[in-house]
Amino acid sequence: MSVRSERAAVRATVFAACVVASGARASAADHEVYGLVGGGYFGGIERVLVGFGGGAGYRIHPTRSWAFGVEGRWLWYGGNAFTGALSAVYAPRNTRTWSPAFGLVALAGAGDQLRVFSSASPDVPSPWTVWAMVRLAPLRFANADFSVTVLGIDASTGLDAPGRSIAVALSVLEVGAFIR
Amino acid sequence: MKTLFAVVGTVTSMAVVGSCTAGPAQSTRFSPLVLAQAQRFADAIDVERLRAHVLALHAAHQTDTPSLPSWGGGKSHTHHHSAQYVVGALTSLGLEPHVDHSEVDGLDTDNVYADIVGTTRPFETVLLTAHHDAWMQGGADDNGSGVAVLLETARVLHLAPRGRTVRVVAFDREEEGLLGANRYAADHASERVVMIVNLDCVGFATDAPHSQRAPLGLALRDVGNFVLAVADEPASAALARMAHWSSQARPTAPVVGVITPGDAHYPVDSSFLRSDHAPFWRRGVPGIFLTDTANFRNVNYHTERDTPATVNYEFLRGVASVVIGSIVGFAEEP
Repeated sequence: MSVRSERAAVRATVFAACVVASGARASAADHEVYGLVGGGYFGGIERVLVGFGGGAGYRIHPTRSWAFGVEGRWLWYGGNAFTGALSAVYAPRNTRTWSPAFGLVALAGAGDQLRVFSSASPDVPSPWTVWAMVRLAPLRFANADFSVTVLGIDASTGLDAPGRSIAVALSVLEVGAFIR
Repeated sequence: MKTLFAVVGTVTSMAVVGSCTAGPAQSTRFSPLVLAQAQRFADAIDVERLRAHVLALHAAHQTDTPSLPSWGGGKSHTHHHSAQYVVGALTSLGLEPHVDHSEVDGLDTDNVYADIVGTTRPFETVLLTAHHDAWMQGGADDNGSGVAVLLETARVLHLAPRGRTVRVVAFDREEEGLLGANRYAADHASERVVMIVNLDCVGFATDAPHSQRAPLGLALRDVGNFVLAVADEPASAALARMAHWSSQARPTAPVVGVITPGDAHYPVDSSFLRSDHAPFWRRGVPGIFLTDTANFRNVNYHTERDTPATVNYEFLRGVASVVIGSIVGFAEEP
């Protein structure tokens, strides 16, 4: 690990500790905006879309337990690729500092990617693709003002060829702020 | 909050629109007229000539005096007799082969090429390429198979030239870092090349289960009985036409097509830059690389066991059919 990445990890840890130390105060916040860094691999029999980058998103919390959100990411490695996601997650808010989130995500990907086809079906695959994924964010912490998620994962075995495709979007670090 | 939504919406829209912007749409099918022409050329393929070329090129490497590059890990390299064989074979067809002899990094390099001059657009060129040099005095699949298809294509096509010029090029010293192709691409940069089709290892195929491996992260079928055709983004429509033609052609070989992003500018492309099309991709030339995937399938790759007996000649005939029909289409259609 480089010095720069070590510093980033320390900062993230300190920030998470601050969130934890500040306790779980109640809040009437209904809106949350966040930024994230992370990567993604979306591979199957028709395509490979892969890269590392960042993104931003917005969640609305209509109840104290559920949140619905939109999110966009940019990924770089196999070119410039983009994903957009709609999510519905169970994320108990402000009842305690540790606030794991679990839910479902509908994700669309586009942009530069490897596309695979064959003479048996000689049509070039669309540059668009969609995955239904499960979101697992057990290391999510929140207080009245901020949220921090470390190593959140959206995962799927793919719809086009179950067992032969896999989709994983990893959020190394996500930092959010609640807006009143 | 409204401002935030506006900014997020605008950025997302720009990203999506930017990612999907493409040039003018190209047809992904050859016309029925071209398909009919392509089949007539495919009918003329002689599998015994393919076999004879592979045997002769293997013999040429066997009788050559190998060099032992200090960085080659003890592997021997041969290229003199194979260049002479290609010159002789093209001459016997009535073509006029050119030999570009040069010193590249202190190594003598002989690229051999010949033109089948186009009838209506002679200054637009379709390149069909294969390297003639080999490691380890083997070289039947790598790349006697590719050169055999190149020579058979030249034989079939030169009797009835197409609209564009078709230039067949046998590159030298591919195995030592694409030296011949790099030199050729630099020396001929001013020429108008509309397409390059590069053949490297196209004769090894098997129906054995689990005989096919793939680069990490790429899900290919696990039976090694297809030819992999890898295109850069500018050649994506051409690759679709080739795949469609292969589904119509008789004989044929199954084609698995891969379109790589970024025209070889991104790390994910590195697995697909192993052969002589790479210098052309970097210059923006539309190109398709055909291969049996070499070491991802062929256990004889880069050994003395790469002999003519290991080549699947019916598969090679199918590959030749796919190549000849595609070259006819690329030389005829926009």
